[in-house]
Amino acid sequence: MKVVGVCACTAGIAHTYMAREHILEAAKERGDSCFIETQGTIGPEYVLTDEQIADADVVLLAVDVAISGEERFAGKPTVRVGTAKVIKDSRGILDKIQELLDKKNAQ
Amino acid sequence: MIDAQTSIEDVLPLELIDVSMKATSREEVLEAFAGMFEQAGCLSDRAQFLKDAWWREGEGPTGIGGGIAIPHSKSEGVSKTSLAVARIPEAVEWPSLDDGPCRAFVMFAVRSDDQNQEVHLLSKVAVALCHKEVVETLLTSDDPKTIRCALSGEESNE
Repeated sequence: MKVVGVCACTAGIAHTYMAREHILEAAKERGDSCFIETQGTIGPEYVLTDEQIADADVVLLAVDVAISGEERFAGKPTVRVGTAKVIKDSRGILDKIQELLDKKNAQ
Repeated sequence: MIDAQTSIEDVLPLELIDVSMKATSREEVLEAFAGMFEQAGCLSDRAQFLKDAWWREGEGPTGIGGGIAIPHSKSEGVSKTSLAVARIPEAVEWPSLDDGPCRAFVMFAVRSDDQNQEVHLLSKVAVALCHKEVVETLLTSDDPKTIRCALSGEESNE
């Protein structure tokens, strides 16, 4: 599965980056390609390239607040969850997304 | 103001690490942290700092599981972005991702207008806390230098 995503929590100091770390580790475990941008208090980091977005199967928005640049993902299957959920169980979330994608592709 | 090599010692001086904090509730933990930051000269308005810390507590759990919590205050009451670390002898109730109590804390005090190196360092500490060995050190080590080293994410492969 090719995943791109954005993490953004309320204060933008800690959970934003922890969410990214957890998603990347889960993706690595699963063998997914995964690029995650953060929009924390210091501004966007690990900014996604157009190519990464174009290639992606799914967009994962692990966000508690509104983010900028959401138009970049128009037309892509998008999943939106809170950062707490992702910190708690990234692996479960990615597995679930895979399930949903497989169902969709099988139709 | 900020040089190219802001390091963990700049945001986490040893005086901001207390492995035997006396606190028996979430309120007492936050008050004790406010005291530590104030003593270290990091606050311009202690009441505002606490108000903003409580605001963040209201936004969602700052307990990240495994007995650790990362309360934070992005506040106009902070004059110097810093971190503090504490451990208490007995875990206290604290809203957490695993619904468990907490006994080790890393508190972030961030100047509301801060956009630079210090905040970046704090985010590195948050990422370090995603790793089991770092959490283990935080829960068991009595040496402030060892704790600081673990939190600086030196073993991380980012």
